[in-house]
Amino acid sequence: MALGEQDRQAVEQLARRFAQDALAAVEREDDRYPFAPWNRAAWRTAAELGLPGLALPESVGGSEQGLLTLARALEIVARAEAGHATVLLTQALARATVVALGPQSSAARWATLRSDAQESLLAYPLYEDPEELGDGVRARRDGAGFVLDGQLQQLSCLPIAQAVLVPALLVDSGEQAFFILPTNTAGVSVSEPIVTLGLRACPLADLTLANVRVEAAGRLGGADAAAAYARTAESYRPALVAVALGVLSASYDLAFAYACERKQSKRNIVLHHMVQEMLAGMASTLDLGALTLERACQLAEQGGGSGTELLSFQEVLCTLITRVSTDGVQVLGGNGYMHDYGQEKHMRDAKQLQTVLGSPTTRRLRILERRLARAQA
Amino acid sequence: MRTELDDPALFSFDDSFASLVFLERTEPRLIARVREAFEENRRFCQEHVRPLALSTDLALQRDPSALANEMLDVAIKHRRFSRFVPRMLGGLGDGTAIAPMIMAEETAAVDPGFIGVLSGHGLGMVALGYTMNLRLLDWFAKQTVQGELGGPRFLIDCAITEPTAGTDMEEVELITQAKLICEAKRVEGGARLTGRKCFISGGHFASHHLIIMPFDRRDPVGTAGVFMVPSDAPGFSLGKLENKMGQKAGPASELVFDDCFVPQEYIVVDPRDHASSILEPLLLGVLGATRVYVGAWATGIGRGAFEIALEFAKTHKWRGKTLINQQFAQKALVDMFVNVHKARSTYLEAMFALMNASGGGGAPEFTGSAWFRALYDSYPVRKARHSAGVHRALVKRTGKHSDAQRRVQFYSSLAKVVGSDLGMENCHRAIELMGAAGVRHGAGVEKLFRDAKLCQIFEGTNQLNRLHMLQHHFVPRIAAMEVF
Repeated sequence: MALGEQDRQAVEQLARRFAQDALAAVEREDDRYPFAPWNRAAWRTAAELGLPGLALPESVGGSEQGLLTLARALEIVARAEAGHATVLLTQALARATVVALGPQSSAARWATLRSDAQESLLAYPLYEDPEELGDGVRARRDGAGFVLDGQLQQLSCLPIAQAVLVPALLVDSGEQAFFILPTNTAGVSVSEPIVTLGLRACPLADLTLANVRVEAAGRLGGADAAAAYARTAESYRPALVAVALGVLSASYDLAFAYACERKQSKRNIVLHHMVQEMLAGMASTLDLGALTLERACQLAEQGGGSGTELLSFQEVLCTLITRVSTDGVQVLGGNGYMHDYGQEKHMRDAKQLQTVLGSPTTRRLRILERRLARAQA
Repeated sequence: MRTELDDPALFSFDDSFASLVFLERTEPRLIARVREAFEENRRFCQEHVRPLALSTDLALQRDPSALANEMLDVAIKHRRFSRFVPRMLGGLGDGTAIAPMIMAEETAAVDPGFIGVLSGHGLGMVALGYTMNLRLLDWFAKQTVQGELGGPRFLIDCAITEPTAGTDMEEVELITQAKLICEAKRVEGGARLTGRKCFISGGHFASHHLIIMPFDRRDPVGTAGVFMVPSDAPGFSLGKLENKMGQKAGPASELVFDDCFVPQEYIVVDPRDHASSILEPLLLGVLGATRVYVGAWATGIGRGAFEIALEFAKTHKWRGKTLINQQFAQKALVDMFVNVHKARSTYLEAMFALMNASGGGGAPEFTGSAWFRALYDSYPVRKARHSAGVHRALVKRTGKHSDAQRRVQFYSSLAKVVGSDLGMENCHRAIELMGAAGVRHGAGVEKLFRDAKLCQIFEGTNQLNRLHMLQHHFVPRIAAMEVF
């Protein structure tokens, strides 16, 4: 069910309320994870407000308000705390993937947003390239079920999740398969939380599977699962970019306010051309994002356009955002480098977002590969 | 993840410093000393700094109120601070800029944070040198050396920046417009200092603080004084320890002066005693040297990022083929390698400009000998050297601008801007090549990404340094041009 602009604004209002009430006061403390506890209360509130389910079907407790609504909500949350926005993105994408892969029974069990939301977090390989999942985990058939062995690195939400979505290579057929298994399954071990550059409120850990037995019902999808998995991830690239735009928006607001306030040579630094140039770079990137986000979401919902637009959308905007968010620190000078001002966090968050859903370098290659394939066809 | 390079000669002395290899023909003893210092520092960094780099950064993330005391102990044990002291004063420095610069690159490639441990004191010693107060310079240099040989710790920082005046305090042309909060007043037997200095490198490690502060805020240039304040001085306290994004091992400190008394003998430069202000030659001299150092430091960061990316490319595959043998990765790596060489070439040229301005290739060999040191330290020589007349004459001499000193200004800013911009760029490129692996703390490059950003900010932002280049290279030649 498509919603009108008025309904979308109501959702945005909800996201703003969440950002202000649940995140604004704790932003810098949540950035201390894993050296401080994870803010479970924020997730609980977000789930109660229905934020992770904005783009999910009603059958799993979502509100079917579309990707643009989700993207705008994520952008608003990311302005307050990008790590929490990434938790929401992970939960939305993981559930959308389970729904897309099926079967329905799995979707009902694992993708459904329940009232006890804190007990239903899913871990998802958010940093993996969805088209190049590799053979970190191998699955072999064992009677009616499977046995899984191997390792996956840096799964989003794993330290706090109750179940994990695992891509694995079926050794007998060489095809890509997907499994979902509770994290307390025998043979599953989760590393200590990983300390990373940014997005620290979205916990990460490595996964090791040693002789893990999974029933047939634990397998998601069938022969075309790899394509469905990649398609779903592809459709969420605009939502990821929205998180990055939220980070940049927060960085710009801080830099602009500081530049209007801070004096140098008895003039507000916003009047210095070199500062204006940096602020303009940030502002124009935001404008580019605002102009293109809606179209990217439409394309995503229509199946991805001609094949490269969503990749390009992520690549261009995330790369631009990483560069101009370092300028956000520069505008604040020494103050920008200090934790107290909150600006350095935006620079770290933006850089880490650039590495989500595959490395930027290989993403660029894929853009041309797809175009070459199209030209040859 | 990071391991030793297969071929440590990838950044060997001969492959890195063609200009120095050439200079070796005419200055064999000088370059022999530089080579020796380079090789010793490389071993030291691998054996003692590398094992501490990531663990120290992590510990300081866990507890931002802690200090990198283990690194400081390593620095003292291995006499790294004595390298800022010339041999004729009993230290290990040869009096040239060459060894410190190339050692800065080498050290930063391993851990920029360790340079942060050293550099506050380095800045303090350079500034103390430019005050031309040989009495206090000689005394403090000797105490520093003794402190590393088992005596009490003697380290010094240099405080310029104030909370409301960062960039304005780094540029002589802007100081008169700076919003200052610090001021000294004369009292019987000395002066009393009031105000706060911020972002002071090494403040929490220092036993003494070199403070630049005017006697009258309305005339910050004409009344500028320089003061040496021990950490236990009444009215002095250490304020906030900044929680920085990176370079965590090197503390950035707030210094608080609450009617802090400085006895006359600790007034390093009293403006009443000199015909012209010390401030301009002091700032130009100090920043002219330290910006080259930052250029070398940032070059090392860019090189460290390259080395980690190279190691990653050697050990990781994409579509079944090792990255090192894929053209896209080769392109990324060679671009990073080019950046290292661009940055290095720039700081080396700036280093030579600095040496041209300071009279050549460093102190002659004999100045490190025992007989010369005895002579230098003999009563009549010492008495003359420490006299107010000699101090006045030296300050007057430093106030005269030569073309060589003007060149130092634009070259040093050039080294700082090029090195730090390319260092930052290499960190971006390394993470982009490594993807998710690059943002993990254990890989090391995300730390360099955080560390690199500081080099674009301190010693004057890169924006200010661009203006500084224009001011000192173009304005003297283009009559219609104004910068500040």
